[in-house]
Amino acid sequence: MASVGEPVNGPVSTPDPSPSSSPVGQVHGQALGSKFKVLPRTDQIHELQTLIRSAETSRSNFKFVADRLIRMVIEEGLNQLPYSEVEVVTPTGKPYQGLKYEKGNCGVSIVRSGEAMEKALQECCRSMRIGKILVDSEPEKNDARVVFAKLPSDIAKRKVLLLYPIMSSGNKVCQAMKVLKDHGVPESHVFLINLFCTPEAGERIVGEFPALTILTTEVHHVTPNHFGQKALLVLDLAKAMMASPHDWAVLPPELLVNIARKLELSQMCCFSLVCRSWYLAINDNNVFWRQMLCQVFKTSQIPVHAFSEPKPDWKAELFRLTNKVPSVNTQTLTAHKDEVLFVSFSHNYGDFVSCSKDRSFIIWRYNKKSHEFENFNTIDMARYNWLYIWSGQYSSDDKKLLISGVMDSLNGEIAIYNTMSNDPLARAVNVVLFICDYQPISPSELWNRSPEDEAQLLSVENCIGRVFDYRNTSAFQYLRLIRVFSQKKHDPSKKFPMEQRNPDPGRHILQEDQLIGPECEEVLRKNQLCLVAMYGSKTTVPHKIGFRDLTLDSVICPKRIADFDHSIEFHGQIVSISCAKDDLQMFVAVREWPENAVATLSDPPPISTEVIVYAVDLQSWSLTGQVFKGAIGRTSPYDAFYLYTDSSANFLACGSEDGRGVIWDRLTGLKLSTLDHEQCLNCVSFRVDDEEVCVTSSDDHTIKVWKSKDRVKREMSEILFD
Amino acid sequence: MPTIKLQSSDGEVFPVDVEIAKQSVTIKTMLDDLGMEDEEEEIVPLPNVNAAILKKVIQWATYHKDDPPAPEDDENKEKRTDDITSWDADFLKVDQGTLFELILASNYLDIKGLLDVTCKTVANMIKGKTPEEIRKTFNIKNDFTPSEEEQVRKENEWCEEK
Repeated sequence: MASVGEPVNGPVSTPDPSPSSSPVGQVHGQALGSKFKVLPRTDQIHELQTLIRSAETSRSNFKFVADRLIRMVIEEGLNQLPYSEVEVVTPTGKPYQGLKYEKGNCGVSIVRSGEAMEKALQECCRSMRIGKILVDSEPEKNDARVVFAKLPSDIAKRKVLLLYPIMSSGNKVCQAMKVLKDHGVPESHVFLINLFCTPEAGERIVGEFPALTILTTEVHHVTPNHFGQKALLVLDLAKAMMASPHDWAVLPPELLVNIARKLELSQMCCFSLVCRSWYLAINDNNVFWRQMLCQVFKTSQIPVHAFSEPKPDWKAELFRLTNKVPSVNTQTLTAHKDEVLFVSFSHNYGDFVSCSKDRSFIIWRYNKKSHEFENFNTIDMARYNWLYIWSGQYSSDDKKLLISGVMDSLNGEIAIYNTMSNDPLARAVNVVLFICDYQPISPSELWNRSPEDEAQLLSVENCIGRVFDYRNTSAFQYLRLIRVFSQKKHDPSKKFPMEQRNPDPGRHILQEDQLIGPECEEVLRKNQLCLVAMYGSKTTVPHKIGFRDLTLDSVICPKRIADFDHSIEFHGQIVSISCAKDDLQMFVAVREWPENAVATLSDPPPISTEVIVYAVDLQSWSLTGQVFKGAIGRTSPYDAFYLYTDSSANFLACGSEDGRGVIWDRLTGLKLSTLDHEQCLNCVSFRVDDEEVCVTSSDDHTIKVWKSKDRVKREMSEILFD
Repeated sequence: MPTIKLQSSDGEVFPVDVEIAKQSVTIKTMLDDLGMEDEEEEIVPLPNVNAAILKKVIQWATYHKDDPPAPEDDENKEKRTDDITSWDADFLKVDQGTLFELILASNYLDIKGLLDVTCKTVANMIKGKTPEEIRKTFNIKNDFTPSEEEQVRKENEWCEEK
């Protein structure tokens, strides 16, 4: 690489780097003489050039970056213009020797990409006049022709900053130079302001116009030709303001938005595709997308406070709320011959288990190729005289499966299965029904014992008995579900909104079956644990949630059941509770009593058909204020049905007795999707590693698989690609 | 009933009942700020509206003079475009140029009801059409390059999925 000639001006001289450090394709400008000046490549300039060239740069960022780089080269261009010495007086009355910018300059942009540089020039010199030259070029013929020129009448007396960002062949600039010379502008009075230039264009222009001064930021064999398009798309928006009459393409953006607001979301793609100004009017308009979101979900209140700063990108939010939530029924599994009561996903592999009144449970395996679920094994529990299967839970390593079933109206059993071989490992018999009844027992680390020990552990009476002496309580007191979970610190000041949206997998969940033996004592010493129960005190149905801190003392010296540390009254019948997977929140589904209802021991009050799900903050043991509405209950208080709720990082789902399960957004409380079955939807479970997939089980004997629109689209393109 | 005189961009003067003219928030502000109510002979120049359009606007405002004030823009309100009254529908059976000018005029004069119904009319002309059909309807040139068009489609096609 030859290096000839020293640039004249200090600030724009380019140090000659060793050729080895020079990026591929970049050429140094020194060979083109002293009038050809390349801005010194500082890291900052290089970063801007990189962002302009990158295909990843978003349009808004592109505009920002391009404006900065344009500004830099223009500032340098202004340095080339003449200044005269001047003396001014400072506010303290002292003279100051300074410089004064000489009048008689103007800018000329080569239409259209040169126009993208006008704004920066006007920001530097507010009163500078700007002319335009339109050159029509035919790249194939290597030819260019001037279509029109609109220049200040006294341009011959002015110094001219000629604006043109990208030079590949130099054709257009040569034509524009001829126009300027025809108007009497001396070559030496013209300063070409350019961003990217090829060596060919540089050579040609220096050759043809030796007295012309050229400023650029980079000489490179490849110029970013998309620059003009991108920059002009932004420019067009400004032009729309000066609309010519009856041109619908350039109706002012606020009016285009007004029209777009009267359309549905489904029409927004077509609207954007009409032309650039229509696209630009709505695309980056955050207010518009928030309004669109409100319209789609028929709401006026989005709890913006639920979002952390910075403000949400509403278009992205709308995409998430409509396209990332399970809403498309992709598969209906019909292997069960009776009502399907329960479904639950494994933790790692996308498998799930379903439990049915047909006395069997089925392990469904996920096929990664077809993205479908296949019946891996059906296990018939009729051989143990189980009447039906209540629930099933995977252990944390997914190797074992805990199944609970009902023998008769009083007794239940729990069994543990090996998920790989489907062999039964252990069985606990004569479990008191109200414990295994409705009880989703979560995986326990203590499962790594011998099967006999496990069976022993699972006789749930042991642990309950250690914590609460429930046998000594009055008969009407009602303890339905007990769950023990870890709690870092019970902090009453910590209230809604939750700052943490992602689950914290490090939390330790302790199950009731762990509350015995030396391991239990160890765990209790190391962790602050809390026990949660739903129970009733006024009547025979549960209407309260109770909390108790667990300490070694409380386990050794049991209290009565009513002696909770804290409780929440729901004034209604609780039909479901579940914990968020991060153990920070709990969801309580309630069918409320009438306002003035009096609960008596013999008669629970009538209950609403509306199922309301409340979020409870487990750090402060209080309601977060979030309420999720839309699920339906039909049964009477005496045989009110348990409806399972399940949550993922972003979503909450609840079964419904009208067969229309509901998914809400946990953050905004918006109802996003309904999952339709023909009969009562008993249970819903999100895939643990992918909340865009969930399964539902129903009294209509089927299990349905639901996926998000985006996931369905991705799977389809994946299958096509294969 | 006091009247004021509105002057179009091409110089024509229209005497209008003050209460009717005040449906335009722009004119109302002008009158309130300038205290022009008593000055019968005052002429309000409207340099952005020509006589033909101003005549239409006055016609619309006269018919709607007893309408209740437009409700605050409520995001909760379901957006409907099929609730245009038959009088308005007849009134808006105009060529596209006039419709365009009416939108600009109602925006400039800040007459919410008229802006709303004109934009609804345009929205109804857009509904159910492909981008190409929309361009044809409004005589708009497709100024996207093929690659830009593809980009915009990719960015927004999720909107279409019901």
